[in-house]
Amino acid sequence: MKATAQDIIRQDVERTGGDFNRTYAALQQGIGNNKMRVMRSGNTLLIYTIKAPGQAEIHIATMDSPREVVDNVKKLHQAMLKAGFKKATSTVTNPMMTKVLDQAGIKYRVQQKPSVSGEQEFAIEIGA
Amino acid sequence: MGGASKAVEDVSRTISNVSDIIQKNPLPVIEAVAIIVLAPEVGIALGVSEAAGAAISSAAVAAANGGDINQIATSAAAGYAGGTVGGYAGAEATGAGASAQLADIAASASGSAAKTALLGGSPDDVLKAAAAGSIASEVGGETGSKVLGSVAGQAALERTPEQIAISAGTQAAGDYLKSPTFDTPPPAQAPLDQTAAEDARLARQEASIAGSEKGAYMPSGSFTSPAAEPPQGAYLPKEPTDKMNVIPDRRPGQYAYTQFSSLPAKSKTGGSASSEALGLALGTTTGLTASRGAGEIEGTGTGGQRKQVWNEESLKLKDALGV
Repeated sequence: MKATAQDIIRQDVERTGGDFNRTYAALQQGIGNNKMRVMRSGNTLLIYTIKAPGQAEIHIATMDSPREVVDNVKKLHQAMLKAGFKKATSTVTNPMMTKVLDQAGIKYRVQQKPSVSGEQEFAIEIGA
Repeated sequence: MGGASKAVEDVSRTISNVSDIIQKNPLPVIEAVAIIVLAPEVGIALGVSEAAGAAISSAAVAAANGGDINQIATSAAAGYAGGTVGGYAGAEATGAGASAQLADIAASASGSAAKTALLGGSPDDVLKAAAAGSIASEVGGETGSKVLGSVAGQAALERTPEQIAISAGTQAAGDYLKSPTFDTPPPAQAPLDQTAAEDARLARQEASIAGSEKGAYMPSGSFTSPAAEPPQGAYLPKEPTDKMNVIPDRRPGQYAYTQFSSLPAKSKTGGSASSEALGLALGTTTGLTASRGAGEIEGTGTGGQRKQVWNEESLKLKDALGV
């Protein structure tokens, strides 16, 4: 079943304790300013901020099963490459993300570092 | 109490308004498949026109890189309208997979269209404009007529897909009938005229003869001048060998012989042989003056010096020749 983009974002935001309305409003503003974009494959969203031509800071929100996530992340990666992106960075607190990238066959570099709140963060860099 | 409840009411109203805004303004989303799959060549395989496929792909790429978000709606609508109206126009039906992917794109486009509407244009306008471009390329591609394509595209701005399809078909028929091929019927082919053909053949023959070195009225046979004739003995060995000439065991009374029996016979009249042949070829006679000067009388066969003699015979001849 196909979920709406709002549903996927809502679930992602609420899982991390964020404010959906504020997040959504910011997202709309970012898209309106042509600084942010949302790309979709299945029930997985790639929300990214365009930092520079060919460079993006990405966030993945999904309602897919683990197997579907791998397939859809692979498609999103292909789409980004075809769109001309050379470098993508992401900061995640859940190391599961690296496992998805591994299974999708996407090459990346990861750096573990402490966040401001004291939790461990993983800075991921995906190159073309 | 009024203050707190008023604050709650304000928050509630605000949240309600935000929800309304969210419901009315769904996020424009780029379908990854629009970039990955809908390359121009793949678009054809999916039943989308090449132009529509290219438009979708390039617009999605532009949008992914921060281009105008309206392009997402327009390109997706173009793909949807192109596929739908293209179907009306007689394109092949799309497969189930293709339809599903187009539906995905169109579904995401419908949200984008709402945003486009907020920015000043209605989704209907977007669809019509997209259909116009798509129809123009579809019809133009099928009929090879750019004018027809643009006319059909212009019509798409004002009509429904069904009307567009009918209009396009009518215009196509009109364009076909107005083509130069049918304006002026081809001239009827003249029946084969053997007389004319023979005349032409003779004219060609005359022209080729006139251009030859032998002269316009010379036959084209193997007529050669004496000078051009091969020298006598050209086909003979320069010096007969002994094997040819001599019978080794020649006995007395036996004659030697050669294997070369005959040479081309020379005419007894010397150089007149060619003249005779010329006369025969031309069909004319050499007449009395062929081998002597005009007015001269053949000798009587004595072999002596001819003398100027006035007699009746010579006078008659002089009168006849007007000398």
